[in-house]
Amino acid sequence: MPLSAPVARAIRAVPAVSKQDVVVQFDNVRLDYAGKKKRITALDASNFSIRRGEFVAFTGPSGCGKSTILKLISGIIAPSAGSIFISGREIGAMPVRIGISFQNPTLLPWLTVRRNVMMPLRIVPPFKDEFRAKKNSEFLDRANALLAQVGLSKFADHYPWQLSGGMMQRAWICRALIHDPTLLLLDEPFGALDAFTREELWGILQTLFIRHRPTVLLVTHDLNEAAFLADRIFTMTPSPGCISDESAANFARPRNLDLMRTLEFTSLTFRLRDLIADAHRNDRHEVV
Amino acid sequence: MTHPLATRLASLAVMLGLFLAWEAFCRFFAINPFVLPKPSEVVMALITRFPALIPHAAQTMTTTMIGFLLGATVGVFLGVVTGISRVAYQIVSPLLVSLSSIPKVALVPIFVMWFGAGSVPAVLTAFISSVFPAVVNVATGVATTEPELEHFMKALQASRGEILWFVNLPRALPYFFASLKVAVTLAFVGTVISETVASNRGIGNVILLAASNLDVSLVFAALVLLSALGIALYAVAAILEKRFTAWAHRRDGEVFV
Repeated sequence: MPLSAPVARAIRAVPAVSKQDVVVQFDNVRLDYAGKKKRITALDASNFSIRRGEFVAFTGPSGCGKSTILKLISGIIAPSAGSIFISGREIGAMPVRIGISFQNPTLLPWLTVRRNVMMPLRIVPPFKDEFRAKKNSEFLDRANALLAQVGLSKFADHYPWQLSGGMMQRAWICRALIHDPTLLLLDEPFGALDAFTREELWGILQTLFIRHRPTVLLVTHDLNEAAFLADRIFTMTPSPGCISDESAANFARPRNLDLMRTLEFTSLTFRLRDLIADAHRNDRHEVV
Repeated sequence: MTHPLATRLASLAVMLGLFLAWEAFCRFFAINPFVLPKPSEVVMALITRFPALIPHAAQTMTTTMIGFLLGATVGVFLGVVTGISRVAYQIVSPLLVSLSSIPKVALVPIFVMWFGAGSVPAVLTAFISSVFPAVVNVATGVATTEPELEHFMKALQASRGEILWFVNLPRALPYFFASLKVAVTLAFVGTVISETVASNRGIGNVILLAASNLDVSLVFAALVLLSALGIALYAVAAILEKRFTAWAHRRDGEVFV
């Protein structure tokens, strides 16, 4: 038990929001999967809701089910129990426009960067019907504009494998945004990058967020990244994964890197750090 | 890595050297031309008999191409069907391996028994020789698609058909073209074997007749022609591969940092 029940309940008390404003809602969601000997619960009794245009980060030690949440929302896996509502309707009831970026490279190596970025337009309605009807130049403009915003114009006709890691990540973000997604799901998008490139991309992501205002769910183990980018940060504990804490990061936008030197920022990240360290320690004790 | 031109000149020199050594060997030991003709005699035979060889070469090539195209088409279809589902792949794999390990020559008598001598058994042998490499490779290409690529498509709510068209098929293309190079060569071998066993046309038949007439230089001339045709088929497959799957054959030093 990472936190006493009353404390957890107190932290979970979210300010009341009107129903239409809620984009994602988890009601007692649980996910089990078959392990070698017994069923393993990857995510247990998860309750939270995310408002339209909010930037939320999920953080916690590895194996706590952070990525599972994104896979549940994007419909790659189905929950074992509980309900997920997106824009007020149960998941699967109607198509949701989702933009997604995984930690592992998922750009298609046989397409140029621009054609990769345009890929969602060939699949997601209503764009795909227009794509078939050859109304192509508007989409090209859209892709070019996004690539320009992240400084990739010169590389639009290159193949993904010709790019550096940071460039690829910028291309993913463009691809995740091109179809004006209701939800932007980012799973450790900057995990494999050096610190400088990562900070540069935080800035680019923030600019795109301010400009396009999608609802963003970011999964990260980088506490600075969570605190710098998000409005709210959920901390999770492992085995079974569940949300143990919720912190607000009410810093004015646009934020710049100097924010990270302020006392408010560092006390937030240290708080998160302590929470995760506790969870990690408890987890280790249970195993022993 | 040495200069590419130098490498090519070297391999040409090795080939020429082999023929020169062969010529010198025959002359020095005065080898009976019924046993081993000199390369110069083979070339002469090839030139003088060329008009007579052309229809047979055309027959062999047509048979090979029909069998190969059938094999590649059926192979892609079966490969996609088996590769698309993990279960199907695991269930069908042992069957594919055992079927493809049958020497295809052994099937020629059966085809002759069913369809009589002529072009049909040759086409069927070419087909059966080329279908398995295509099935196995395409199935592997489809089945080994990175799950992340499919997850990305699923998150966009792509249909199974869209995932197949935009991800699985392009992903399997390098595997398919790699198999084409093997399949076209095997189809060619299958055709010639079938012609040797049961046909009155084609290069295979020419070799058989020439050998029974002890026209050894014609046998070798036909062999040289076969080699040239085989190289041509392989080259076409290799060019197609390079044209369509350049992304899978990337080189170092093309990365921007």
